[in-house]
Amino acid sequence: MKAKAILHQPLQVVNIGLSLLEEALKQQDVDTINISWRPPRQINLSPRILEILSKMEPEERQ
Amino acid sequence: MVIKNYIMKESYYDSVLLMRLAGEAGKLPGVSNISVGMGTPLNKDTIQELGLLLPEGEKATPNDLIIALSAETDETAEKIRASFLQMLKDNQSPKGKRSYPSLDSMKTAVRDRNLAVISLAGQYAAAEAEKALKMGMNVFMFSDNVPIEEEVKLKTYAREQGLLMMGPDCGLSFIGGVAVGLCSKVRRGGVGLIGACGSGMQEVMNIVHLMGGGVSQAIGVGGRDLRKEVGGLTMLTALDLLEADEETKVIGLISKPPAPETAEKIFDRVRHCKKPVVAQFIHCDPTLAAQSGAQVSNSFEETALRCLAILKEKEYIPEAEQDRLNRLFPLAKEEAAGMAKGQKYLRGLYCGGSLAEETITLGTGLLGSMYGNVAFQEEYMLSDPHQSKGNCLIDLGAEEFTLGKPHVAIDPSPRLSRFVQEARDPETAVILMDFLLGYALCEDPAGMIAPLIKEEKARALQEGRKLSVVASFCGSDLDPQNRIAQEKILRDAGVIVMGNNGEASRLAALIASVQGGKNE
Repeated sequence: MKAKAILHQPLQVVNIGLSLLEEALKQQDVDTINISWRPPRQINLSPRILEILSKMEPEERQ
Repeated sequence: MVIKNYIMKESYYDSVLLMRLAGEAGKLPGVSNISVGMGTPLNKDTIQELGLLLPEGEKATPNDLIIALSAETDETAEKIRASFLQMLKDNQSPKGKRSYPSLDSMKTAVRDRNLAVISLAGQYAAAEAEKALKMGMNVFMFSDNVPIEEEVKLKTYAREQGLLMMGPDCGLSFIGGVAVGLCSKVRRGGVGLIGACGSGMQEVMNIVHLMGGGVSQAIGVGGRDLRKEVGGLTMLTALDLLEADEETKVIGLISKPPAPETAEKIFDRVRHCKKPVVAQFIHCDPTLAAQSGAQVSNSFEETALRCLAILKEKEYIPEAEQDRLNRLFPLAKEEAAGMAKGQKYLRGLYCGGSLAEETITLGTGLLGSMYGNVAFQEEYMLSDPHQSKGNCLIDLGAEEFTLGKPHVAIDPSPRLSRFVQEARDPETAVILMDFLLGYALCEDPAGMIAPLIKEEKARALQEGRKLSVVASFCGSDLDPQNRIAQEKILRDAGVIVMGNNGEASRLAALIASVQGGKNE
């Protein structure tokens, strides 16, 4: 079970949202990286383009 | 008076930071009211309700920042805008911090990550949680307002993959000795906890700590996990985990009222658990738990003490409720001496929802049903939660007090003003409060209210009354605030500080009862 790992291995956290929660983890010396999250843009793309994008790696989408 | 909406296009900030800074900006001279938020529909509704939304604010998108304010003059409004922007600049993240624009963009960096902490607005949180789970991460989701069907989908996937999906609406967890969310830090030890009620689980953690024991893990599952639709999916996964965890010797389960079919499912799993289990399922048929072999508990204190007794291989002998009341009665009588005749009622001002519910349960026996915004019976729900009535308990963490504001355990300002209001009510005999300590919570909750307590106690004496204040802390000496130091601040201000919420509730109810303050 993958969840077992977090009980005994050091937590390695991705924080998405409130910086308050990120700071609390850092105060406890937890390795934390942050996502500078923004709401997704409402762009109307054709289903065909969306399908192509979904098959691409994130780096290729740039 | 002028109303202004300033729109900062493409400027995204997190809500707690904005709410905190808006609170500071609200204290600037010349400002009448201020509300700041991203241009989401919910934020626009809040600004609208305050009468501060203008057409330019209406047009803002969720990526735009709205600073809406009313001020004495155009010039003052402009100064406040400038001050707010400066505050934002001063509070921006330090340079050099590792930060990524999206979860998708950090696929390579994510390989070693084992937990995603998600606290986005509810409408966005599920999509990010799904990405995190698919990347093999466990998820702690602080966000609420996530549709329940999304919760079921996420938890089903997580269970299939052997991952933990804590939340939505998960306030805290204590994982491998780390306080995650708004959580207290306690000693490590053999008690493993699984909780579907945040402040309740934290209370059990801290009673275990206070009694010399320790906690292996405390896994929050989110307030809806034991609903029929969700079926306890995360509690079942957490039970598997703690059963296999060598450090955990006894498991404590704590939940708000569960759906009967979910409770059956959980107790069916408990029946086959290799470790002893203590179950505190509020308003749940105790025979279900007993038939599963679990010990049944009726309070947070009892859950903690039963777990510790099992660890020490001793029998837990509960103190009879009447014996507890008899033990506290002399102190209540002493505290009530000198009160004016009209001082009759208990007024509870709470941060923790589960603690508030515990107080209602305990107080009802002595005082009759209590009024409030978390009353168990419809006829005792206050039509206006800003105005107390009779024996009354207000959960200041409830939605009506937190909409557009940080939770009262993070920013206690709403409780300070409400404390003064209750202290000056000639019918108030005793004010009862809980204080939540831990990471990400207010740095000095006792220090913020202590001067007011001293002032209001002195004012009451001048007016021929005696104001009693009773409190308890839900936190430990290992928390950044340090429970011992916080308790001293309140004691020095004349507060009676009890060891846990149950004891504080009994004492406060007894004081009101001595004064004859029974609700009809």
